[in-house]
Amino acid sequence: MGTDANHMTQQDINRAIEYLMPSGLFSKRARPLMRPPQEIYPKKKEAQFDAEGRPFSSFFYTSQPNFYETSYKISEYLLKLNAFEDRLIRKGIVTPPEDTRIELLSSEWLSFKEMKAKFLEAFNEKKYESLVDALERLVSHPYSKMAKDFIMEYRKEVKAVSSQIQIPPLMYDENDRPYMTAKGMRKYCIANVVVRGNGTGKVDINGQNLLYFEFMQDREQVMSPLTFTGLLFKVDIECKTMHEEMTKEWSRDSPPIGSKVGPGNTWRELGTTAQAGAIRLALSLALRSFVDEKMVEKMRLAGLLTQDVRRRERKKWGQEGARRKYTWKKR
Amino acid sequence: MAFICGSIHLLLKSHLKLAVTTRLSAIGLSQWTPQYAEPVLDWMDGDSDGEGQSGQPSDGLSELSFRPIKARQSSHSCSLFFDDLLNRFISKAHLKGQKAMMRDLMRDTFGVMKSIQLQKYNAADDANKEHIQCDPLVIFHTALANCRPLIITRPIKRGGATYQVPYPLRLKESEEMAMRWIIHAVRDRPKPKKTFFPDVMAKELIDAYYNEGKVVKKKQDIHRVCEANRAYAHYRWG
Repeated sequence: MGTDANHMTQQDINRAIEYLMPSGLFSKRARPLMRPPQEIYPKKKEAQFDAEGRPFSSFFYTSQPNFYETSYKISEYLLKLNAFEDRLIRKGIVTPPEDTRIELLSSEWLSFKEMKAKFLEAFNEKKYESLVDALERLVSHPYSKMAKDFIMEYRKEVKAVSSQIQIPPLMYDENDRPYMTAKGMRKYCIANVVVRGNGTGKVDINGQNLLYFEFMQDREQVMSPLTFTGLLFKVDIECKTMHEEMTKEWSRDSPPIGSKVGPGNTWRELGTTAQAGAIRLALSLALRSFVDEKMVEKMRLAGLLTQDVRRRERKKWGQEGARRKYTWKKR
Repeated sequence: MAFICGSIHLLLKSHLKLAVTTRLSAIGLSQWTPQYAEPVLDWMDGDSDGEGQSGQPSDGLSELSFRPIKARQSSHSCSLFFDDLLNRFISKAHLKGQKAMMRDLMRDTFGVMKSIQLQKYNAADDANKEHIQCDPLVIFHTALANCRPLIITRPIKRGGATYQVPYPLRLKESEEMAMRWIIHAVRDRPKPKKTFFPDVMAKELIDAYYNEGKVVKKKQDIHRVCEANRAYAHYRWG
């Protein structure tokens, strides 16, 4: 296949099998594969008892030893921590000193599936919720830092959102002027924005200036990222908005659903607020390259960097609208 | 909700480098999952570390650093002149989706309030001039604060009889009540409606600012009823 046998990765193996054994089956799980057996076969528990038939865990006869052992440990720790607290109070230390409660900022509880995979036994949502409640109770104890190792077994690391996003570096055009492009979406409207640095605050939306928007709120939306970052009269903006359908491939014979091609103008026009929202998102994403990391995090917390995914909810049969039901009549 | 099944996944194009999953959340049936936090609206002046009114630590790491944030709403601009209370008031007061009209009407209302107060200011002595408030936004905020009920009565059935039991109100609840009363006082004014919305609304707000008028009277009546019924307060807990 052209790849070195000693340095094959899983991706090379997958590609080779796709080439050598092409499969037209719809379900991906039914297609031929070659992976380490740990990934394919479900994990099973190791032997629970020794050669003489004596179980290792004292909770074996509860039929869910891992879960009940965990619950027992939680209550044991609570009693220990309460006894510790009582001893300190008897010595005279009534208020716990700082740094004795566990800090859980960069981690979150294992999800239901992860806990189930950890326990490898019968486990339901109710048991999961009760376990998390008990663990939260342990965490809220003033001296919970003493139980840190035990608690962290049931927590997984969470990365800060800002560290996972890569901001593209500024680009430079032939006049050595910095610029950045970005795309924003809102409700079937796509906005492509080019922000040019060293500017004077020119705005070009589909060939017109800011007065393209008659409604004040839409103009405020376009200005929002600029006022927030402080780049109001320092950059020039060029925006183009279009309907999402225009980006999809279509032909004259099979036009997209609801397009303007064909009899009847069934395509809904783009709303002004949707256009303003799309431009705002595209602008915010482009301005990230012009500002420092602290400002980017501030923009994220202000909600400027999140796409608004809300779309119109469909009408359901048996109801008058998306949520509104028909008037209930007793008879 | 039996008609709606499962989850709707929407992945953005790769070059935006953000993945958003939406499904009908069991708690609020909103299109955002519970992990999404509300965006921070107010930033204090001279706020270089991102330490906003929520009092986040200066090293930058807080609970919000690990959670995705909901998109900022269209009605929430980043302008200096954005006022959250006024925005909520406009959302409550407008009819048939005509928010733009209500924004213009409130703008006219503030103009009328300013002119009324300026007349008083110009007619007053130098000693009294300081006490006359001419900023319409301040009058608006103070008027709503004066109209806010702190406790109301709610009917509770015990042993066949219905008692009016006093209940404390949360801040948001009482603010919404105050806004609703002022809007109804203006909208449901007796016919023939010869005066226009800005003039009537301005008069109501200025009356409320000076603790006079129908809305403040309504609040005081409710407080009086709560005081009279304080013997039934224990019925809150059965």
